[in-house]
Amino acid sequence: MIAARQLAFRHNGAPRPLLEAVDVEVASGEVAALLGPNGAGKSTLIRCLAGLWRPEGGEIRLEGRALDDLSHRERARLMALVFQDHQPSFPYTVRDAVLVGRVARIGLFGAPRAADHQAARAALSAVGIEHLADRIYTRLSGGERQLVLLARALAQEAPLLLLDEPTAQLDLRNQLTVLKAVHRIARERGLTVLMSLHDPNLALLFAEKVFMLRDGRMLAAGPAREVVTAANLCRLYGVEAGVFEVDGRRIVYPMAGEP
Amino acid sequence: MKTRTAIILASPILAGAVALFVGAYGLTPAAVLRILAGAGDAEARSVILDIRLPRVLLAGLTGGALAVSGVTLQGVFRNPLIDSYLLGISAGAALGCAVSIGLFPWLPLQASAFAGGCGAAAFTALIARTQGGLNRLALVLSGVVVTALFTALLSIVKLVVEPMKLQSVVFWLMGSFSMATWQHVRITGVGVLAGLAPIFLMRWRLNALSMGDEEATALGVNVARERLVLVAASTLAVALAVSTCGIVGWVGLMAPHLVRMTVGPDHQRLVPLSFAGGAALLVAADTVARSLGNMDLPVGIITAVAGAPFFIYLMKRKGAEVWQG
Amino acid sequence: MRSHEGRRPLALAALLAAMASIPMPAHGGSVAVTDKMGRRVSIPVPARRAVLLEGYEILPVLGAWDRLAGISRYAFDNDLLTAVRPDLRRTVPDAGSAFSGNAEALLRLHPDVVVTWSVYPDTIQFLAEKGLTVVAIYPESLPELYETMRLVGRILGAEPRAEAAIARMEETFALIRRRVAGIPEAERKKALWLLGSPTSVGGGRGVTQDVFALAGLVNGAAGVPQRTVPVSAEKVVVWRPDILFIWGNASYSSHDVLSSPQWRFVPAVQRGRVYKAPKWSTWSPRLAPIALWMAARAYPERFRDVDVDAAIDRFYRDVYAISYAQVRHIED
Repeated sequence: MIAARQLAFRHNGAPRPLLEAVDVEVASGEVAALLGPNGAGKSTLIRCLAGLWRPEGGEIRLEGRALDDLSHRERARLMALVFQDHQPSFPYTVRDAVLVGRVARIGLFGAPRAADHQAARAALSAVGIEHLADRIYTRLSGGERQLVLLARALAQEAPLLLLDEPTAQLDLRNQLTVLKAVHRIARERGLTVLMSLHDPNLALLFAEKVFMLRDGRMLAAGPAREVVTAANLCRLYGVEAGVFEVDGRRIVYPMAGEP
Repeated sequence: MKTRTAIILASPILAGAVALFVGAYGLTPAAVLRILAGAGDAEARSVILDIRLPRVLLAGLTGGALAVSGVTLQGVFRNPLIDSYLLGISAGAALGCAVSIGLFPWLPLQASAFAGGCGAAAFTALIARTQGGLNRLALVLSGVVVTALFTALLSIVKLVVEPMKLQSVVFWLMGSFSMATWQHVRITGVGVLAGLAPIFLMRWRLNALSMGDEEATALGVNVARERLVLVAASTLAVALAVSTCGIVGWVGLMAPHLVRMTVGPDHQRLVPLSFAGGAALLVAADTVARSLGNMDLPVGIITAVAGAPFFIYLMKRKGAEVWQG
Repeated sequence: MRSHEGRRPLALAALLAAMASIPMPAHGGSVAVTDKMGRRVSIPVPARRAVLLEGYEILPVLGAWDRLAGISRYAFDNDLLTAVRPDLRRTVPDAGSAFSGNAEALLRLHPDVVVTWSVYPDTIQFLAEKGLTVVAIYPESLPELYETMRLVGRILGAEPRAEAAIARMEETFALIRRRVAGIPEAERKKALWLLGSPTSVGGGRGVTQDVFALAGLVNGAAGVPQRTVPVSAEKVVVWRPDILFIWGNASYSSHDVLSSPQWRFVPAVQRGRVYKAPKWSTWSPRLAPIALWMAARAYPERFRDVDVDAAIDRFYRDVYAISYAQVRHIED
């Protein structure tokens, strides 16, 4: 679905690169998680994959086509992005905010038509927030607003979903709500998902494939069960952590005290 | 919502009707209606059709242009405190006017003011480019710089110009419709409607643009290009509107606010309703301007005097609701 | 014309009598005056180095060029001054303008008095603080204009000539008054004085208001006690002026007003009675010929036997010793 080879990125004139020789590949229908400590370059990688930032080296292919060859509109029809830090500007209703997701499918001089309203409704119900449709989205809680952004991304009806730390600001309950929704919808609609997460447990719960990124370099990539090991976690985060299995589920636990 | 929309749409018609009924010539509303229907003596007809009607139409077009420009810039710049003069149009038009009246009388005033307004906005864009592109922060900062520069140039011109002509410049700067003719209505009408057309057609996309540059790009919007089109269109419309009547403030700020408070921020509705609201506001202000005693005050004074306290009232009552919700 | 000649020796006699009765300090005196802004200023009479930023059209009458240390920069473009004194630019320094208040430029001329207008009190305050003696003028009526002319005459040690000019103006005014005296109230024409824009009219205050009254005209805007009144075109229609006079320095012409559809029903426009005044200052002896021209345009039947151009030429010769042909003519 999406494949990046030898991706390199640095900000204009910066001495150190934020990404170096990074390879990423997510197959169609896969749900993948991107793990890494703060400053590893997770957000940078997501933004490069989404076409928002231009890498200085390497290439990205979306459904076999080079990303550079696609127009903004074509990209938006193929991939949808859910941001971590949304700064609301105006008090739109949830319905109007989700409708904005249809902009890639509406002409320059057009307005949403019946099909667009339908897609927005479907997105709202997929996420489970139809009851919030007429609320002002700026007045919602953090978790609810994140669900609105997810609905907006779903309204794009794009086969690939990129999520940049979707649970960073949320409490446990909201984290689970959001990720459960992502997982469920991905399965229902056959979406490909790549989400960056800060908690390896969440990755184990919700992702099939895991990428580990540290200091701009890919440390490990592969099926979740194989990649999330104590050794890898130590290399990734620099902490002692153990992984044990309970009822067929793998769980990471941090070790307290001296390594 | 439907009733609110209907009221806003009806407001310019209402304001226009009242404006046609009011005036120094002292005709009763019935007499005015008779004239509009085709009757009445020639002199009264002339007063209504040659003097009042073009003035009311010009005020409406100008108010609408300022309001739509204001709401567009507010959406593009994600800031409800922005008005139509953000990119330096008012300072540029003022300079154009002063140069025409004071230095080169053979230059037609309107053309000079229009060129000044567009020139200042273009200059702003040029400076913004050197700051790394036409992004929002660069444009706002450049607008501030350009406004300061053109205002300084204006001061120099004012110093050099004869005192008698200076008075004309100062009067123009306060904004007035006292010289409104059908010629002005034609020019402004065509120009404003042509300038605002792209904005009207693209208005729903303002919802997407107002989500922020990165998000809009991710959603599939070519932010740089669409922003350019919207800003350029609003610049043209405002520069043209301002070149006929002078600098009229507050409408570009107040009208979008009032409408947004009433019907919400969805630009699909907001843009046309802002036009209606802006038209009604300015027609009402102009009616007041020419009804106070014997004098025909510059309408810019009325909008400023009413605008500031009104704004304070707005902020106290609804305050942050209006922008962050 | 003939009656004119009879009057002149009389005026001269009055003048001589006046000269004899006014005590004239030989030099180095001073007198306290209250200027337009209410300031008490002690001015040297006569001055040795006077600077005139306003009210300089009286200068050719006074002939006291040697007492002049500087003059307004607009004087160099003034048709009267350049006709009377072609070498003005070479002989009198440029003192700037009445409102830019360049103190340094003024101080460099070492003036002992500066005459300027009262429109910019900050400028005057500033100049006064820098040690300059500043007198502010703004004549808003005929008597005030006379007082201003007398003041400048005093400053330049040529009061008798100022009086002579005033007397000569009064002669013209007397002619006008006589001719319009017989017009009954009901038949007095209504006039408006249009300023910078056609909808900016002269109100109940100002020199032109007095001239209107003198010429037997009723100022349509007399009810508003202001110098300038911005009005709507409608209001002009309501006032129904019979005749319109346009300020000489306005940027539009009488043709512009006559051809505007909005003014179609103004009686003055319907009858084609719109006239643009000459580009002469109204704060000067030239107010008299302007008044004559206005009266003749307003009531042509009462001035049928008066050759206005010749009368104006007469005035120029008497007051300025030049002919009318040497200055800018009245176009309308």
